[in-house]
Amino acid sequence: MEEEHMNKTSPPRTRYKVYKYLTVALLFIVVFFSLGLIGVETTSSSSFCSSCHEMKPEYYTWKASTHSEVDCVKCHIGSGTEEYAKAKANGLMQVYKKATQTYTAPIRMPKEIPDSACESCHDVSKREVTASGDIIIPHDKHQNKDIECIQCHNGVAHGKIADRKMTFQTDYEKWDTKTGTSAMADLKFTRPDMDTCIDCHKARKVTIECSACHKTGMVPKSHKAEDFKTKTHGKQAAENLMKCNQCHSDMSKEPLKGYEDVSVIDRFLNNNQVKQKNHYNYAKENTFCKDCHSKRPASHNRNFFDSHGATANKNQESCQACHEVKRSNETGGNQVTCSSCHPSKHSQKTSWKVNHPISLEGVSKPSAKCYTCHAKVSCEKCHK
Amino acid sequence: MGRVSLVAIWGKKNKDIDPESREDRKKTGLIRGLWQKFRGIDWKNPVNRWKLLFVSLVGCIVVFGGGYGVLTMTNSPTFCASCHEMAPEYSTFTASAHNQISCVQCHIKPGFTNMITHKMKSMKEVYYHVTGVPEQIVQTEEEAVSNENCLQCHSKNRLVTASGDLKVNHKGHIEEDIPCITCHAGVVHAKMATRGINVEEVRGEWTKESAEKLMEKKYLRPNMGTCIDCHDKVNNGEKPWKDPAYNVPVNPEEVEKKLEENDKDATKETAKKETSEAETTEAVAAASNAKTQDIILQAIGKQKKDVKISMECETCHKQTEIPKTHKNVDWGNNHGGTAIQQLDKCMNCHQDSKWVREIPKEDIVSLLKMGNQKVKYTPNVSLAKEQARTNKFCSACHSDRPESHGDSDQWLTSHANKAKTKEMKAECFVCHDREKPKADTTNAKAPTDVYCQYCHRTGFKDDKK
Repeated sequence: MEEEHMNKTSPPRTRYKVYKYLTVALLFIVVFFSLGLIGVETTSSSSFCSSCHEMKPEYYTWKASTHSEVDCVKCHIGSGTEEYAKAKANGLMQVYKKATQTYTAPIRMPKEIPDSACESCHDVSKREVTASGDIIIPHDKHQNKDIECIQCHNGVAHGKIADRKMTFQTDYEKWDTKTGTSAMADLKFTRPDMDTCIDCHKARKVTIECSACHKTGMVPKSHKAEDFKTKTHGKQAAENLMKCNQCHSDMSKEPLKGYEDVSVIDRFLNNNQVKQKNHYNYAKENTFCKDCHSKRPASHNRNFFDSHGATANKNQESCQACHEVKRSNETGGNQVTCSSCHPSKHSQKTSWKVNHPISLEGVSKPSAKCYTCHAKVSCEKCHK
Repeated sequence: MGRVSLVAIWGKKNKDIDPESREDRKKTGLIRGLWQKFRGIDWKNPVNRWKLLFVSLVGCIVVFGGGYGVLTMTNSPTFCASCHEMAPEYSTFTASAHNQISCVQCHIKPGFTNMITHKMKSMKEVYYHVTGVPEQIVQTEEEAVSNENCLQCHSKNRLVTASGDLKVNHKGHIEEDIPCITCHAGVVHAKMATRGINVEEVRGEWTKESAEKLMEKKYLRPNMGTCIDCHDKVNNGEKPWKDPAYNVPVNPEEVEKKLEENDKDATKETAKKETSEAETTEAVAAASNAKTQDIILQAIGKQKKDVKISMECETCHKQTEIPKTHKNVDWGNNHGGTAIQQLDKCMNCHQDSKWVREIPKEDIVSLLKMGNQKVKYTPNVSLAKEQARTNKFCSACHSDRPESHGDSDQWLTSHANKAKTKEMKAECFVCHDREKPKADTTNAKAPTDVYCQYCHRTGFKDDKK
């Protein structure tokens, strides 16, 4: 029995080692995984993100945003282990770049927030969205056209601070809760802006009627006056063209330029003498105005050719709502200009030929080509 | 024994043991045998020590991992849905706007201890599941969803934009510590407990499709009756939301308990109670009617009271456009024709349910059959008449003696001219019954006990034609 006992105790030498290593290995595995888990958890917390001062603007705007209860990673890391691993590796790269001072500030989002991130909380199919004010916004229609949430709602968490150039390195230290709150205070940065709507609707050839998106229709009171179309709108435009432009700029089929406020820089560079375009230009450039203005008015009846002088003498400018004085490159569709019949002096002595918009080399006499712009009747009064 | 322990805690040892000793061990019992074996282990042997360490490590992993697994499993909505008694709750939840979060995110207060406590308490749910499911599952006072739960996601930074023409001063309500659920009680389960559509016998009706039908907007959204009720109470110096019972649906079990207690008391003096009880219920109904009418009159600005929160429509509505027709001077005396023609339109604003907090019990089967379809209204005199008598808004005036009737001694002899033709009589019949109302009639009760045949016993002159 004793002998047997001794025999039996000899193998434990190897078993001893096996159990020792097994235990130690298991311990390491446990420690490794728990440390890993703790590491992943801490680096996924929003306070960890804000521990780098580069993230201060993003952190404080987020804290003041409507999404303050949602962690950074919930939106900025896609779902799935792969995405998660990628994000962590990316984070390590950023730490390295930061340490070697090779990170190019300001910080920009590497890629846009996918809809799946939003949809992990917001189920648009179940919630009827109640846009504020008089806005009509069928979310389902937009979703069916594969328009991503972020295309409209890009300011919701950070108020477009990167676009507003508020994330420069030199300003990091200026950020705190107060700055964050004030950066997010203006609704125009957190709400979808109308320019985005209009641009997208135009590009996709969807209606841009006011009443398509605004319940109130947006028609101002002044427009409802009976004589607004026929008489008063020009005078009102002369007074406050900027206000007209606010809504009507979007109604032009061609882009309008030069009707916004002149920038401070332009004003300075041009010695405060920037020539602003006026409402006459507007009537000829905005296709919305042009659609009516290009029709022959009732006043221009059969006798008008003979009698228009008297009308023009009263207020020559008003002709310019439709007619140009002289043909130029900017002239729109209306071929009839004052100079078609009332040419400037063009005796041989003056060098008018040099300034003529179309080259007149070798032309000594009015020809058929001239009459594409000029009125034959009045030319022939002298050129017989 | 010693030999066994020396060989190993576990392993090949059984092969070495002869069948006899094996039988011995069996007799000693499994746990006892294990314990004896454990005691017999030579702890001085380092192999055994390492084994112990190894085993306890594996044990730890199993316990923690398993515990985590169990917690995750029991926290998932699918676990809640695995009991059939949760079918109404679960299917409304999936059809709600909150379907992306889990049940426990709202129904357990945040925090680990709260979670564990809740798990322990829920053991009794398992017990009930086996022994007999409650008739109706209702949120209790201590289980009411707290603001903490809502604020886990809903940031106070968000400027709330109430839909439609509503003005809701959320900040003001929050500052008064009014719990979210006082108003937003229906946001996930569409007030089904109050509507009485989650009781045992109809649980089978609940499917994903039926839930979508039953999630009516008027139940998902705060109901105006609650606003009215609470504002009125505040005006009377009360703060109803401080009472947790105000914020949760009525619990049928507790009501039963109370009734039983009452019954016990009642047995002592049965006879007396019965009559008085009937009287009190009638009195309570009358009082609540009077209260609702009072509130309605305040709202339309006919009764101005010096109050904290004005009960006028404009307090909460941006556009309460009173229809043009209502602005006619004689609208008060001349709205009957319009009412018959467009009673449905009248009811958009004037229906009682808008003014009362209580939600009537509903029948799920008929709800599902009817769907949400609207029945087109065709002009119907008797319907309009019924509203004039029962609708609290209408009856607020219709129960008063009209000015035209003057003093009764005058009117009694001179009303013939006002009731000559059929059309004229129809006007009388809005308030007066022609015959003596039968005791068991289902018709709406007339606001006055004067009926035509009380005097005209043989009918009217033009009857016989």
